[in-house]
Amino acid sequence: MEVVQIQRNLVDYTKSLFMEGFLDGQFLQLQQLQDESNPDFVAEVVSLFFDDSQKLLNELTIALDQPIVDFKKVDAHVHQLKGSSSSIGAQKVKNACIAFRNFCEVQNIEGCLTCLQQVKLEYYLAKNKFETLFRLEQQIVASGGSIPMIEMGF
Amino acid sequence: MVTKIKMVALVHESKLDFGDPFRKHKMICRYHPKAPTPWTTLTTAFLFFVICLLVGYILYGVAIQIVEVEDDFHEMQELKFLATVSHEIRTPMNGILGMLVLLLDTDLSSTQRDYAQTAQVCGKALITLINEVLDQAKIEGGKLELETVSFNLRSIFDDVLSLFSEKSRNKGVEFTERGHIFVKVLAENEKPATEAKSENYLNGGPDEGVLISGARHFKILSGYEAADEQNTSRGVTLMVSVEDTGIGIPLIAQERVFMPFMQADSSTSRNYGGTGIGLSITKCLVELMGGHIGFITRPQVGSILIHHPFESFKKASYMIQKKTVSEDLPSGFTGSKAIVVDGKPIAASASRKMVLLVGSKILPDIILVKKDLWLSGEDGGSSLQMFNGKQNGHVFKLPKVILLATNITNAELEKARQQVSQIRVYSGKKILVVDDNMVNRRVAAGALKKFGAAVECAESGKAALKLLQLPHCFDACFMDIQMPEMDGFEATRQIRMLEGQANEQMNGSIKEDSASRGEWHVPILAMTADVIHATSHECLKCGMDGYVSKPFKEENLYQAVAKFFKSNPISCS
Repeated sequence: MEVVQIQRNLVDYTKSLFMEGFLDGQFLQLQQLQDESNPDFVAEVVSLFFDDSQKLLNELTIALDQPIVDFKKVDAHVHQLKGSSSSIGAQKVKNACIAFRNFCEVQNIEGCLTCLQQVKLEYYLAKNKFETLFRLEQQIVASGGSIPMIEMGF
Repeated sequence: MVTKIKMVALVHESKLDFGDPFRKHKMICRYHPKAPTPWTTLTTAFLFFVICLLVGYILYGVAIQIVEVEDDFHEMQELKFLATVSHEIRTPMNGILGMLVLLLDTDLSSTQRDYAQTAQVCGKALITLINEVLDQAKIEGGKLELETVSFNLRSIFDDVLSLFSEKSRNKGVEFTERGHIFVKVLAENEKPATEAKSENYLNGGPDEGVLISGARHFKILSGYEAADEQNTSRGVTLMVSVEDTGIGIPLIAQERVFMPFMQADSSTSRNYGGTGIGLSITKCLVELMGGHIGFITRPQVGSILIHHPFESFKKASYMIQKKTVSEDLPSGFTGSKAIVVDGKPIAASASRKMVLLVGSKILPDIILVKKDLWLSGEDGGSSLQMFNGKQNGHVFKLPKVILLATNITNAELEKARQQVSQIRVYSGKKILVVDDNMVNRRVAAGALKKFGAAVECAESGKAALKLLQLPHCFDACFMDIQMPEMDGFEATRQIRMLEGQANEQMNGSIKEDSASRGEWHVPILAMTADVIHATSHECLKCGMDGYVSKPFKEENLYQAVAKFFKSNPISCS
């Protein structure tokens, strides 16, 4: 049956995301908060994350482009980004942010710029992965199936 | 006499001389033209033939008899042998089991205990097998004699149910009586066999025509339903049916259902246990009583086994044996409305029946939930949501939640209590979430809403202050530490200052003891990802009541505030 195949794909895909370190346990927590009264909780939170992060990344680019870089501001933005990415379980983004913050503390512009690139890269990758995930879920729901719960031994 | 003859050749003149010289005697012989039918010969031959047939038949009959007798004899021998051997085996087996029980009562190391328990399990299985074989032998040997006796249908059912309660409980199988007994009449019937049959009957609850004595697959076996078919003065027909929600009996196996030692296929014994005797014993008993037995089955849904033990029962004189109820049924239930939540419709109808007996009607005031449903993740969640749904509206009376279970361990009871209290603790509470990060706000709000609280969000310390202007309706507040402009510490300090001022004003005008003094102190908990700088000490210094680290786990979040809600919060009317 088609639905079963898609469900299996979804499960495998999600598992691979965990294995590769894109997602961590926090994402599972999010999934647990989703139920009948809140059917799109995860999707909403993740799209909020996308919007928020996009804004932050733009701000960061602008801030680091300034002749005199305001590291406090940069740090604040990165802190924000780190917070939101860890809340949804986007592990790689979060880790990149942590590295970023270290460079901010020592006020190393080169390092910051590199990190910004890294964060952007991770962010776009994560965005891609999430979008694929949601697309699979939508396919399942459209075919009348239910989204399978992932069992993880964390 | 001289007669005219035509055929010369066939004439014969007799040379007989009569010795009379004076008369001339001449005797002429001839053949009769038509040969006479030799009746005698024919009759004789025929009779002889018939006699031979009869004799042959008799001999044949005798021969058959001899063969039969020999067969019977052999069979009897076999059964006798089986019986003797089984009996001989049973005695030492009982010895073994007894010793194992004693052994398990002593102090054993864990490996020893494991070994002993395995041995015990095997021994019990063996004994069960032997008993069944013996029963079979007994019945086939025609050793079972029926005795007509009066019995009370209801009490027999109760007895049988309690007989099996232990066994079914251990298997997680729910065994109930649907209780549709219309007849309160005592019927004459043989009591011992009914009980024995019922035992085997229930033992042989159809799971692919196999004993349920080994089965642990089926979650629910229910409905020992006795329906009164004809309640005439002549006699009563009893129909007993056992329903189960199992895997049903596949078409191929259906012919073999009642044959001894026959199970649906070779994997049945492995999967479900049992030996395939129960139903055949039941059939023998039923037919001994002159009734008949049949079944209806649907794959994956279950089966119903029905038998009419007698064509009709005679009504015996009716003795009302009213069991005095030692304590009154709790009257608190009368008139209240209840919902029964159960995954399986059969069991739900059984529960419904019981609930009706207790005196409630079926609409929510009390919610009775099957223990299995409640404790399993999904439906527990949906039950919670049910409560939440109600909560979003107006004030409502929280229905009592009662768990229905055939058996419940202490651990399960505790867990269920916790879950219920989880809902209670948070429901109706208003919580403020303060965080400058949208995503974090969303996640925190989602978690708290799941617990049943009403959540409001603020995106900065300043906004929080505005919302927490006294008097406010919030029962608790989650505050992010790292926020621009006004961080969590600062915001908390300011809130505490406001509270302090308000308290002084209140206390100034009231000269009473501390118990009646209402103090404004909203529990504020820090949410922080930075456990190095925002230590517990720091938080407490500025007036916070605790903290949760980000990203938070559900349980941590729940626990953090729950302890404040346990004590009396200031409620907003």
